[in-house]
Amino acid sequence: MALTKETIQDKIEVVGDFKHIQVRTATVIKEDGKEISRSFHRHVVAPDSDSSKESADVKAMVAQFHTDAVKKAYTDHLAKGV
Amino acid sequence: MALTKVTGSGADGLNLSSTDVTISSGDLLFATANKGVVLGVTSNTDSNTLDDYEEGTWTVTPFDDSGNSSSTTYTGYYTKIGNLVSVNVYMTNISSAGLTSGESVKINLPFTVKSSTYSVGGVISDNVDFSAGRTQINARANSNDTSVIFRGSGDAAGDDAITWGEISNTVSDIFFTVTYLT
Repeated sequence: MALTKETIQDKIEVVGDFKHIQVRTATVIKEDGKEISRSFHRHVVAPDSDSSKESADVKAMVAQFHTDAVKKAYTDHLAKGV
Repeated sequence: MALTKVTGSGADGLNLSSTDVTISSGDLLFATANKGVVLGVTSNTDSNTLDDYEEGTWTVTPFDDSGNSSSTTYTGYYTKIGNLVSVNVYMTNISSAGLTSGESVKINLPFTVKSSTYSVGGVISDNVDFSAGRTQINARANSNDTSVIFRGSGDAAGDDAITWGEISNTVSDIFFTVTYLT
């Protein structure tokens, strides 16, 4: 019986007016190659978030969606006190 | 003869009757993601389809309006059913070191809050020094954002944000739940 554990980002979504990037990280436990457990941990990358420690996939989406115009619109939105 | 049972590996799996479908053991799985069960209607409409359910955790990090983060983080728990997210957070001995005294206490969320919605949840606070006239606080999920802010309110007083100046460094506790649309 061999147990293995792997962590993968199994869902990355861009949502909302300000292109928040929702990232789901799955921890998958397998026994002899068959999945027996999967648990989820989430985080969201906002336009003003520090993305320097994100995965390459998330960084690519940040570069694509968090444009200067989106960042400014989000900053203005926050300034209104949402 | 009508089909009444679907059998696999020698055991009954799916039983069909004129009124019910029974799964003898195990779960109902869809081979394709984002498929769901249409409830309460006889045509396939998105607003009647339960197509998402998820349980999990996220790292809760208190922060201020300027984006400075607390050194204390916590594990929050969420359940998402369709477009409704319910979160449960238990923060003890919150560190306010390095956070701006006059700025709002904010908490990050695991899903973005739907635009033009303001959901409010209950809070228990411990050793939070309310500003004058405020006797209770509530958690508000902020529209079009991924944060919760805490609002203090009281009799004949306008509500205002709980600020980091009202948090006693490594002493204050805040527990809250909020259910919001995403």
